[in-house]
This record gives sequence, structure tokens and C-alpha cells, in this order.
Amino acid sequence: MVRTILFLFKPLINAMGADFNQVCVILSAKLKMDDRRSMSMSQKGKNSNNQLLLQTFVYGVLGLLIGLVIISIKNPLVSYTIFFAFIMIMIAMLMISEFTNVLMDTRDNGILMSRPINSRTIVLAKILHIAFYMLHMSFSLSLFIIVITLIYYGFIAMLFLLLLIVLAALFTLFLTNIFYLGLMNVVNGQKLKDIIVYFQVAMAILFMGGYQIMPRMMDMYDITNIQIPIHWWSYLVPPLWMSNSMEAFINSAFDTSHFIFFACALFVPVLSLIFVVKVLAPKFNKALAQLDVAGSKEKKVVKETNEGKGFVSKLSRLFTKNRVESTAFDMVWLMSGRERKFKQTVYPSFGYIFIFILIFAFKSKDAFNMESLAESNKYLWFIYTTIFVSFSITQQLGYSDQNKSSWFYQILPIEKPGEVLLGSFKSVMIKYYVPVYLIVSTAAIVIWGIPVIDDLVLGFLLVSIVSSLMQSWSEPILPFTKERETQDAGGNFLKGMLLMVSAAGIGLLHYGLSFLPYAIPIAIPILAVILYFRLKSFRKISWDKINS
Amino acid sequence: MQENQKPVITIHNLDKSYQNGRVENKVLKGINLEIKPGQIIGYIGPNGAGKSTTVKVLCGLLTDFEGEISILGMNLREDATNIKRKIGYIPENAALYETLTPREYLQFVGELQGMELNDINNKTEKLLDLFEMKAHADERLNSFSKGMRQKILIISGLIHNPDIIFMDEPLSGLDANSVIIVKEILTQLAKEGKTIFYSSHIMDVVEKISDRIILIDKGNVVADGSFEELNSKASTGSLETLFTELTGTSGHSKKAEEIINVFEN
Repeated sequence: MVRTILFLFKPLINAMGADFNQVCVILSAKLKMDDRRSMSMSQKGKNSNNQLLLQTFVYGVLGLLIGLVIISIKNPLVSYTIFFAFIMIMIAMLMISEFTNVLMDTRDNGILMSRPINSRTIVLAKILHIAFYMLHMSFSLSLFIIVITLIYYGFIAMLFLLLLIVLAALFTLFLTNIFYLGLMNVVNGQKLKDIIVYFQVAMAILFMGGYQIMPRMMDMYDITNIQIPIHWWSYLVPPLWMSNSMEAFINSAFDTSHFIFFACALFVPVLSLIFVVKVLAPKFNKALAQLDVAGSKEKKVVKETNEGKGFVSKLSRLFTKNRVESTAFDMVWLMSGRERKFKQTVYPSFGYIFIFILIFAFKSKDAFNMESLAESNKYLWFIYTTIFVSFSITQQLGYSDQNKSSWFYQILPIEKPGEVLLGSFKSVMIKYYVPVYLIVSTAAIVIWGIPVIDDLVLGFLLVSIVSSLMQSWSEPILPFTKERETQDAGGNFLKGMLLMVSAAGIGLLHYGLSFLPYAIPIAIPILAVILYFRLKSFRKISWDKINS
Repeated sequence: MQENQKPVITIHNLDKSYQNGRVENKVLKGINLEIKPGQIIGYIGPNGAGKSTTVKVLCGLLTDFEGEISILGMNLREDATNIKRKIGYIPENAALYETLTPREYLQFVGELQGMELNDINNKTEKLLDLFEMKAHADERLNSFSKGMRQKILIISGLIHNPDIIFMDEPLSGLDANSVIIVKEILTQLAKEGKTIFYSSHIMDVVEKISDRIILIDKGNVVADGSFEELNSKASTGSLETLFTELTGTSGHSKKAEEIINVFEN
């Protein structure tokens, strides 16, 4: 299958200086491996495309949401400009957040570089591997607009749009390659991976916030009637190459300006791909080899200072009851700041709080009017958006990049593993949740005044109880001991649903209580006692309950 | 016989550094070697001496080195791809494509080496059988033990019948029987004229199979000769003693005593 498709491009592949047969062999193997990666080890040989279908659905929905906004714009140039800008930004961000591992796969160094393969072949195979997913992603995101184009402008226009989408994807690939090369020249392997984490965080926030905020923005600023005048610098803006080409096609506008745009749209991506493979490939592989070395044998020594450790041990003495608990508290405090995977999944939740508060602010045009805000009881929003942080920290605590180092829990004389869970729960809640809650509480007190303090206390207790349940229910995982499947979007979706339901549930409970006189002051001591016993019950968790 | 033959590997003033931030860490400092065909070279040295780096440079995995290297008459800088057709590389504990099966992985490697599919399949079947891996031929590599993975690495390094075989701790994780078989394979391959560059820090094996032993320390060659030649230089007549004498790591029993003291007090 791969060979058949690539056969169409054989002359181009050869012209780039890559070996056609080797490209086919590498690409087939990689796609086969991707297919299997999400399945359990026991399954042999079978292929699964569920992951890909799920992704098509998720991207398709996202594309639909943006598409609905785009079709409300009357001017095709504006609508296609927004569409291509959206596609290119999404691809670039997804490339960095999801496909860094593919591009930076240093395992290839040992496996491929000792074989008679030139660097152009390796890079082209990598690019095609990414391009496969990128095109899938681009078409999923564009599905709605492709159908709309077919309905409005006909079949040929749709084919032309498909070509432009491929070209836009190729050019974005080139830009991200340049980005990586630049980055690899200035930072070492470890640092690079850290930077990628921040991109992933930004991506997650953008994903979440983008389609929540954008429609509201559209309402607020009337973009349906805007125009895009052409300046000299317009020729330097890639989405305009594509959108002007589309406009030229739709309106049969074959003037010089449109011709230049089309020439840019067609030639720049193709030339840039050739440039990537012919010129950048050896540099990229060399940088990658360095990265491999930097990431393994000759690791840059990262010296951690003892600064702040006194404060942490004071906290752990204050909040924990015995050695096991306090050791777990200290260890999790330290590791949660260093674990890339933990940061990657937890940090976006801080952004979500900000976005959800913004959404709430965007709800009506006078939302920024503090007086009307202060009269409402929307402080509950403030309180329960923080649940994103508490849930994600407790959910992610069990997962790690270095999950294989977890065997020591088994050999240590730990009688009650629940104490490890309790120490770690307290640690992440105090380190991440409490500061966030304090900030949100301060904002709430500034807006609504002293009377909301009891609500804030109640909210804190409720969130803590539910979070502790989330961490210790069914088969709890000891901190940093499990490997997370990189793309378990389905599982995340379910957890997301659970999160929403829990947040809504306790929010409603709180809301209900606020109507009963004295209910909140009465509920606080009761919930405090429940939380106390809830935490105490951690100690009862025995080894046979632990998911190891 | 070997004296008159042209060297298959010539290394001239090989330097290799790693950049660690602003600090340059020089790992190889002017290595000069000539290796004749049919030799088994035992390339030994303590941890961090530069053994693996040398092997990686020679196999074309690390390309930014100083100096000149010629393998089978070809310049490594200019003709790396052609050289790689004729060499085999067997690393220790190296990454494999975990979700492939041995059969698929070996086919993948064979195709990249430019072998015919029939040839790959024939050899794969036979080699998996001889290495007692046939029962696991369709299981994914991620379920394999260290020794099983090492067997696959050995087969994948030899499947294309290379003229020179570079090995970096190739016996790691293998059981006693497999170690004996691999040692025997190496000896017989050398007899057929293949050159084997065997990097290790396990003296015992090196002593037994090598025609020539090269000892490196801190990026320099500190001894080079046959086992007998080197043995005669050591004060107690063993390679291990020579190793510790030349790499300055003697006084082991005193150090062991100190360590035990710390544990016990």
C-alpha cells in the first residue's frame, strides 16, 4: 500500500537524493509500529485503526466549530485566509506537541544510522511518516470546509482546495523543521524536551480555549464584514498565498497579484521540501546524533540546589504523621517539579482555569462590569474551575517517564502503601492546588467581599474530598510508577466527562446549600470531619489494592 | 600472513569531543590504529575510556570527528553509505523497534541492507532456529528478555554477511551456552577472513578470543599487542593486572574494605 502510493512520487523521491526502496521499507515499518503502539503487548500482528478514527472525529468536530464561524463570513478571501491560518497554526502546534517524538526519535540513530542509508533517506522517511498523520489531521480539520467548498463552488474547486491544503501542510512542515533546527542549535537535548513541554501546554490551552472563546469573539467584533487589503507584505504571509489562490479560482481573478500569490502557494512549499531534504537533512541528523549523545551517555549534569528543601521538610513535618508519609511528601514534591510528563499534563489545567473564567467573562458584553458581577453569585464558577488543577494533579501523579524505576516500592519495607499515597496526595495538593486556590480566593474576595469566605472554605473541602476519592478509588497507583500510553484520547475523554460531572455535581450541591439558611456554616465542620476520615482511610489501603 | 596484507581499517589521529554546554569534553585524543583482515581485535578499557565512542565513529553513527578513517579502502567521511553495506554493528542493549516481531525486524534490517527478500527469509528462519528463538519469531520484541533481545541484535548485525563486524559488549545478558556459541562464531568468522572489532571491558572473553588487544584509557591507546605480548608486561602476568596497572585503578581491595566499613558502621 505504502509502496504503491509512494511509487507515484518515485521520481521526486529520487531527485531529492533519497533511496526509494529504503524510504518505503522504513515508512511501512513505522506505520506498522504506530498501529500497534496503542494495543496491548499480548496482541500479535492485528492492526487497529480506532485511534486514527477517534482522532478524525475530534479534529473533525474542531474543524466544524471553526468552519461554522468561517462560513458566516461573506468574503471568500477572508474566510479562506482564516481557514488556512487556522490549519497552518494547528498543524504547527500539533507537530510540535504530538510529533516531536517521531521527528526526534533518537532510537533511529542506532537502528538506522549503522545501515547503508544516507541522511536524506532517513529524513525523507521521517517527513513522510509525519506527513501521513499531518495530512490526515489537515483533512480531518478541513472536512467541513471541503464539503462546503464542494457545495458552494463545485468539484474542481474542491480538488483545488485539497491541493492547497497539501501545500499548506508541506510548508508548515518546513517551518517547524526550521524551528527545530534553530532550537537544537541553541539548546541541548534535555532543555529542548522541556521547551517542547511548554509548547504542549500552550497547545492544550489553545485547543480548549480556542473554540470556546472564538465564537464569542466573533459575536463581539463584527468580523463577518471585514476586508483584507493587499499590501506589499501580504506576499510574505503564507495563508494569504493559499486564500488568494482560492479566490482567484472562485472569482476567475487572473491578475498579476493573484498569479504571484498562486506561484508562492505552489512553488515555495515544494522548494522548501526539497530544501529540507537536500540541505537541512544532514544538519538535522547531525544535531539529532548530538541530541542522542546529550540525552544518554554524555548527559548534561543538572545540579539541583538544596534551596527550598528546608521549607518543604517543614511543610512535610507539619502535614504528615510518620516517616513513610513524609518521605513520600518530600519525594513527590521534588519529582513533580522535574517529571516532564507530569508537567506536560498538569500545567494546561492552570490555563484552563484562566480560560473558563474568561469564558464566564465573555458570556455577556457587560461581564467586565464589576458591579454587576459582584451582585451575582458567580463566585461558584471561580471556586469550581480550580477542580481542573486538583483532578489533573491527582490523576497524573501515578504516571511517569521513568516508570521502570518504580520497583523499589516493592522491595522497600513499606507495610502500608496507603501512607505513600497519602503523603503524595498531600504534597501535590499543597504544592499545586492550595496556591491556585488562594489566588482564586483572593480574586473572589476582592470582587464579592468577606461574605464569600465561608463559600470558599466549603469549596476547598468539597474539592479536596472529591479529589482524594479520585486518587484512591478502585486501584490506586503509587506515585510515578505507570507508563502512560501516549495517545489514549479515549480514556482522557472519559476522564474529562467524569471531571465535568463531578465539578457540576459538587457545584450544584454547593449552590443548593447556599439557599438554605446557615447551611454552609453547618456544612463546613461536617465536611472537615469527612475529609479527616477520608484521609485517614488512605492508611487502610493495602498492597493488594494497589495497581502495580 | 597478516603482515603483508593491506589494513582493512586505518585510523589516523582520531579525535572526538562532545560539547556539553560551553564545556568541551574530549573523549578520543589522537587514536592511531591499523587493523588487518581476519583479526579479532579486543578493544578494552575502563568505563568512559572512549570504547563505545570509537565504535560509533567507525560505524558512522557519529560523524563529527577529527582525523582520518579509512575502512576497506574507502574514506569514512566520503563513502559512509558504501562502507555500511560491508560492516555489521552489534551494540549492547541497543534500542529495537519494540512493537515489531523478530521476523519483521530482521526483514526490515535485511531490506535496508539491500538483501533479496528470499535471502532474508531463508537466513532469518535458519538463524532464529540456531539461536533457539524460532518459538518467539512472531512475538513482539517488547516482551523479550535482555538476552533474547541481544540475540536479535547479533543476528541483525550479521545477517548481511559483513566483512567487518563491530561489537560493543555483544555478550551482555546472554546465557552461558549462547556466550560459547557466539565466541565460536567469532573465531570461525575470523578464520574465514572477517575482521572483528570487539569492544568490551570483560577481560575474560577478550583474553580468550582476541588475536590482538588494544587497551585505551581516557581517550588514548595505552597498550597494543597480542595477549602474550601484553601479558609479559604485567607484573603478575594477567590481563586484568595489566589493565589496572595501565589505567591507574589499582588498590581495589583497600577500596572494597573502605566501602564495607562505611556500610557496617
